[in-house]
Amino acid sequence: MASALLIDDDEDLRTSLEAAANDEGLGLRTTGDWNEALALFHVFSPNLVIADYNLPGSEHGLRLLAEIKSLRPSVRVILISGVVDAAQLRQAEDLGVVERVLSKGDAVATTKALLEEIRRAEETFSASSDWQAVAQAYVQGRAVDQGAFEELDAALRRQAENRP
Amino acid sequence: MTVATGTRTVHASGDRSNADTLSFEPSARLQRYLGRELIADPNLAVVEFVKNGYDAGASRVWIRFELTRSPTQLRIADDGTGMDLEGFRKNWMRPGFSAKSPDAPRGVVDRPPNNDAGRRQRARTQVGEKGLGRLSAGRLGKAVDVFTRKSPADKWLHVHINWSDFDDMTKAMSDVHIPYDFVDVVPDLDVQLDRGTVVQITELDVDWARRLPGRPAFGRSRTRLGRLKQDLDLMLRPLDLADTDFTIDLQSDSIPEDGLLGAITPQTAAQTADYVMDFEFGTDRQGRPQVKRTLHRSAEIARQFGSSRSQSFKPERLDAPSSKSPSARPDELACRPFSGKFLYNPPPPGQRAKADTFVAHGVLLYRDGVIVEPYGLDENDWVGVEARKAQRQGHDLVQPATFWGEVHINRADNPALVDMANRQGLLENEASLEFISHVRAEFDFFERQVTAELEQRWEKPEETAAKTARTQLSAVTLMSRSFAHNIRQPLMAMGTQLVRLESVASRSDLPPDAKDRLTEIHDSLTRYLDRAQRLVAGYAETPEPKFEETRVAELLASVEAEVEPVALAAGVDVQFVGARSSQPILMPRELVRAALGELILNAIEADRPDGRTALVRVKQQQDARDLVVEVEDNGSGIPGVAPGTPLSDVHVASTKGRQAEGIVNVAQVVAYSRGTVRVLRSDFEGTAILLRVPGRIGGLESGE
Repeated sequence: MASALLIDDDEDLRTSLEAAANDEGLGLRTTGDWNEALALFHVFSPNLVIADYNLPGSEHGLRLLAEIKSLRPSVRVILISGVVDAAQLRQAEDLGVVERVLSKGDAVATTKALLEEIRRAEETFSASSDWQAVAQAYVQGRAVDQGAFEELDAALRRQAENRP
Repeated sequence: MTVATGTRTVHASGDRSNADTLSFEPSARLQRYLGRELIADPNLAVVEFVKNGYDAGASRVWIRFELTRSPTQLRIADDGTGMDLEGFRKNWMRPGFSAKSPDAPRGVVDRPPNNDAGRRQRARTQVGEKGLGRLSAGRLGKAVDVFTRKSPADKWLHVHINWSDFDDMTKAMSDVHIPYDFVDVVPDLDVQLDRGTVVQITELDVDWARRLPGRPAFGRSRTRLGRLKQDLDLMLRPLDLADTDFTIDLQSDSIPEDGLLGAITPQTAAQTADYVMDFEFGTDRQGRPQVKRTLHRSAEIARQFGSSRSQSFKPERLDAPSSKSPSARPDELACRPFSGKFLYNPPPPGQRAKADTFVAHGVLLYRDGVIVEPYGLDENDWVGVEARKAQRQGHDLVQPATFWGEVHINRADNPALVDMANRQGLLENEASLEFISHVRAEFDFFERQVTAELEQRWEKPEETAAKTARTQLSAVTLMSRSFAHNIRQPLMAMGTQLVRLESVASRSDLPPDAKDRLTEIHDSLTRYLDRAQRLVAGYAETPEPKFEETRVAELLASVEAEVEPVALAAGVDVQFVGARSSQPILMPRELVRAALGELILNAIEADRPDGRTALVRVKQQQDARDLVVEVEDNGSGIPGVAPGTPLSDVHVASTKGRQAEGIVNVAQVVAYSRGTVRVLRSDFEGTAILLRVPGRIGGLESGE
């Protein structure tokens, strides 16, 4: 299970941060896609969401984070960005949408700060066994059912178009 | 009533009508009106004869003025198909009839003969149509003799017309008897003419060699003969492109102007025009009307304003006007496709251009490659350039005297655009009004494009440079931020890996040697990461071009702190020498700091011969007003750079890649700061670059 969710379109960063978290015995779920991020959020209900500013599928990270925040106000949200300047970072914090904004401009410091955030999230994570069961079912089911889903989808399309 | 009365008057001189009908019986004087009144300009009358020669398949037209003899004479000869008596009777002697007209009934029009002239005639689009050109002879002189034949085997048909015979208004036109005979020779032309037509006009009505009265028209010759030469040049210009087998040979026994030949022609003018805009009206693939435009600039204009030499605009749909054409214009193209170009040479600011820098005409209209009068000729302002100038009370930027152009239509594509019978313009109809509106809207578009650039001419050169630099800096800022974002992604991942490495290196179960080695690797990589991140930060957080009071000492200390770790990592000794002034000066502090840093970083990274200890010296020169800093390295020098060369002109082909970009940035920053940055020297012993940023800038205040 994971207490934290990282949403970033950079695969290298996702892999590295996940490995760094695992090195320290921390769980981190990652994705580069906005829609999948929402699904993972619903299933795992992480305490912490870390998101890049620019994400495929959403206009930008702020909008995504605002939506997540509206779904569950208690979640701690961190924005990381390689493009937002210092003034904008402060502005984003002032908006109250996010708890913290970190710049990718200082990679080591930001990594350490994120690991610390993930550690804290892990400590406070109190997922119920039911939640874990549902989450596990989602992961397994998704892996198994993907082909079946495609098949069903194709069949329904054929049916709608009156094709054999 | 007037008509009926007139008819009755003529009727009295001879009863030719039936009992129950009336018919016009034109007075002989009508001939005078047609020739003298409808062909308003003698130049155009000559051009009409040239057109006739062209239509007759001539390869050459000779124009000979004999102005010193008495009576004066003009001979216009062509080697076209010529006419026999029957052809002359059907065509020449029937005003208003034109065998060239598409309306001419079959059978009436003679087939072109099977010779060179006939083949040329078939290949050409006929340029005359109304059958009025022949009457223009009456505009030129007292009498005309026409010599014509179709074959060398024939004698020349000679027709003599004395125009005074038509002065009697009580006489019907048909009552004026025109004598003719057949002769063996034609008037002397210095050429052997086998066939064709010679028109000899005697007792010329105007003095072609005399200077024209009134205010001189810019670009127009002061004499009528000079203007005729210009008009013929204009007429021939497109023909030269479409049909090279046609030449006009103009000669005169009196040459009123020196350098008449080789005066300004559209060709030479077009080659040197500062602005040329081509436009093409047509339809897109969906059949919607549109206009496509391309603006070309001379090298000098492009350089001066930092513009591109050729700029293609996105096709503009006429049925969906864009903001680029806010002026009212038709949203249809009933006049059908046409094209054209505008040319403009802005006169130097603050100086009246000499007459020979002006062009001879406005926007000319060509149909099938032949000029349509009177558009753009003399005072004709059909595009409304002069009118706009008057409206703006002299605040125009496109000055009519140096603006010209051409618009091309043709009979096949633009059937609705037809001439008035008097050769004085297009017949006014919906299509022609729309056509003119489109051309005027194009001028409006052209003027706005040109004006936007030329307004900068009134600025001081340093202000123009600063504005250009600011625009370029803005573009650089956007690009830099984009690149910085992309580069930060892998750097972030690298930082994360370094955290992992740090974690591993700190494990207590590792052997001390391994631990030290990992720590060393970690520290080394961290230094490189720091350096990379600082560089990226420089691009990502490009400072605002904001002028601030700045103390030079603080600025240099800031730069020194920035470059120090880089110098240490690269093993280069960077020395800051000279007095550090505490005098505050006004400058875009962050930009200058970045530029100076960039210069020093370039000096640090300069290629050096093997064995040479790397050294960079940053020296502030004494100057009470300005920031003056010399950056000197002991590298191998920049090949081919002379002392005094502005840094913006220095091409640095660095293997490190970033140097060239950095130098571009420095040049832009300094230009924006109204400063200079030049190479003091560059040789095998090293390179010295002098940066000067002025401390006081007129009209600027801190915080602008």
